[in-house]
Amino acid sequence: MRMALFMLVMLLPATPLLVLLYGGDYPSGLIYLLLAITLIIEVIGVVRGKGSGAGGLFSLLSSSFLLVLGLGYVPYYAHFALGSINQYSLPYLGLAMASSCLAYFLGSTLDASQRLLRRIRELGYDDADELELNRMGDAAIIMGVAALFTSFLAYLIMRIARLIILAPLFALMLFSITYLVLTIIARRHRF
Amino acid sequence: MVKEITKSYYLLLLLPTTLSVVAFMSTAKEALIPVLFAILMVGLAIYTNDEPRIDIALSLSRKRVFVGDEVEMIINVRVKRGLGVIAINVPPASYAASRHRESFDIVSGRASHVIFKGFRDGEWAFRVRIKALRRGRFEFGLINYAYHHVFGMRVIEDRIKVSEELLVVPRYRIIRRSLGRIKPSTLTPRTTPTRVGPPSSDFLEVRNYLPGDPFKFINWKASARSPQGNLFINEYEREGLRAGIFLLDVGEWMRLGLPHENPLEYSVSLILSLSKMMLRYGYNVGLWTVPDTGIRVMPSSGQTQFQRIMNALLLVEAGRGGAMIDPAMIRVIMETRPILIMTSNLAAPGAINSIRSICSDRKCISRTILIDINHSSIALRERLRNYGDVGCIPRINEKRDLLPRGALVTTWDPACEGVGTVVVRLMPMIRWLS
Repeated sequence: MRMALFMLVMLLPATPLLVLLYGGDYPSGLIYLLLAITLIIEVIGVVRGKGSGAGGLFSLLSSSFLLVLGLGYVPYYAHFALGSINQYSLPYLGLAMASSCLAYFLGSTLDASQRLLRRIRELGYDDADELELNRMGDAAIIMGVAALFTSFLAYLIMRIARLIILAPLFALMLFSITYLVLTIIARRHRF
Repeated sequence: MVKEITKSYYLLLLLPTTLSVVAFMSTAKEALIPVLFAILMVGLAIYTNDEPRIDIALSLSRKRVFVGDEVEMIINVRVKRGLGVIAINVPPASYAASRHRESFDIVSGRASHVIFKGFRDGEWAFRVRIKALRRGRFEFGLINYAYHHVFGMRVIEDRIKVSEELLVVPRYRIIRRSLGRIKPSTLTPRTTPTRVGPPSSDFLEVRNYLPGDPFKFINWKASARSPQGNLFINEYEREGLRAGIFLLDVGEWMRLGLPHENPLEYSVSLILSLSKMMLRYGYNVGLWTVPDTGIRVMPSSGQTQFQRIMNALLLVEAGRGGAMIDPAMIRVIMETRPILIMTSNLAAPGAINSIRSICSDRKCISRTILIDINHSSIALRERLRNYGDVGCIPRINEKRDLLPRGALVTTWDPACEGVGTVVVRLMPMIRWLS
C-alpha cells in the first residue's frame, strides 16, 4: 500500500496541468515546463524524505495561476488571456486541482512513513511494522478520497439545487471567512 | 521532549483562502471543488491534531538472573487522542550506549515496534524475550517513542523512564571435594606466612580509622574524645591463618575476544569460583583492580564477603582506571602478607606494565600467582564456527622473559578448559603458597 501512496504522490500533481494541456488552449511549452518543475520538486522531496507533497502544492498553485489568467476577471479587465479552457473540461480541472491538493497532504504521510521505515530498518525490520505503516497510508488515502468525494458532491448539489438566491461565489466567500474566524477561535481556546 | 509542529496552522488556513480567491477571480464554479476539498482536509488535519497521551508500562519477569538466562519483558502501550503512527523503542535498543546492546540478545519479539493509532483510543501489548550475555547492574526502564501525525502536522519525540533494573549475576562454579584433588601433592609448610586471618573478639589496640576498615569496629567514644575529630577503630587479634587478594587487570586488552566472552568476563567467573572455594577453606579474601578504579573489597571471610566480591565485580569494566595502585592495597599487603592472585591477558604489552606495578624484576610484593587468560581460541572459535570444531591455540609467549621471576605464571584457555577444572588446578598452588 505504500507503493500506492508513493504513486499517488507522484502522479496526482501532474493531473491539473495535463487537463490544462489537453482540455485547454494554453502554450504547451509553458505547461511542459511546469510539469518538469513539478516532477523535479517531487523527486527531490521523495529522495530527501522531506517535502514530498511540495510538488502537489506547486502544481495546485501554478494551475490556479493559469486558470486565473485564462478565465474570469483578469482577462476581462486586462484584455489579455494566457489561454482558454474548454467548458466541458472545467469539472475535470476542479477535480484534478483537488487531487493535487490531496497529493500535498499524502506527501506528508509518505514523509512520515519513510522516516519511520528508515529508523526501524536500523533497529530490526519486521513485516508487522510495515503493516502498521500501510494502515496509516490507507487511512490517509481513505480520508482524502472521502473528502474529495464530499467536495464533488457538494459542488453537484450547489449546481443542481438552487434553493436560495445567493451567488455561489459570494456564499463561498462568506463560508471561508466564517471558517477562518471559527478556526482561529477554536485554536486559541485549545492551547 | 522534542516537539515539532511541522505545518503551520496559518499556512494551512491560507490554502483554502487562496483557492477561494482563485475561484472568485476565475468565476468558474468548478473551482469550488478544490476550495471545498482544502477546507475539509485542513479541518480534518486541525481536528485530529490533538497532542496524544501516550502511556507505556514495562515489566520484567525476573529482576535477578545469571549470565545466559532469559527474561521476558512485557510492554503495555495505551494511546489516547491523536491520529498517526507511534514508533516505540524498548531496552536494549532504547539505550544508545553499546553496553546494553552488547550485553543482551533478543531471543523472541522485537525491541522496536510501530503502531498506528486511528480515530479510536487503543491499547497494545508486546512481549520481548531477552538473553543476558554479560554481567552487570542494568537500568532497564528507558523507552523512547516518536509520534508522527498522519498528515505531518506534529512530530513528538520523547522518552519515558520506568524504574526497572535488571541484575545480571556472573556464573560461577561451586567445586565439590570429590571433583578434584584440592590438597597440594607436595608437603605444605606447617606455618603460614600470612600474618592475619579473620578478626577474633580479643581486643588488641585502638588505632586511627583507615579506608576499608569495617564500620562495626569504629570506637565511637574514642572518636568523640578526639580533639581533631579523627575516627578511631578497635583492632582485634586475628585468628585465621590464610589470606588471598585477587588483583583483576582491567586494561583494554582484557576486552580482546568477544564483547561477552573475553578475558575480563572469564576472570570474573574464575575469581568468583575461586573465592567461593577459598572462603569455604576459611581464607580471608579481598579484591582490587589494576589499575585502581576505586572498586575494592577489603579482605575478610564468610559468605557475606562472597556477596561483597560479587557486587564489586558487577561494576568492573575494562579500559578504565586512574592511579596504577591503590595505596590502601599496599598497606593491606604489607600488613597481612597475603597470596596475590592476578588475572591478566599477556597478549598485550600493556599487561606487563600492570604486572610490574606489583612486582619488580626479581621480586613481587608478596607471593603471586599470575593467571594468563588466553583469548585467541575464543576469537577463532567464533570466526570459524561454520567450519566445525576448532582446536585450542597454545599461547606462544615471547614476553615470558619480561615477567618477574617471583611470580608463578599459569595459562588458562577458557575455550578449552572449564572454570571448574582450572579452579581444581589452581587450588593446590594457592594452598601450597599460603
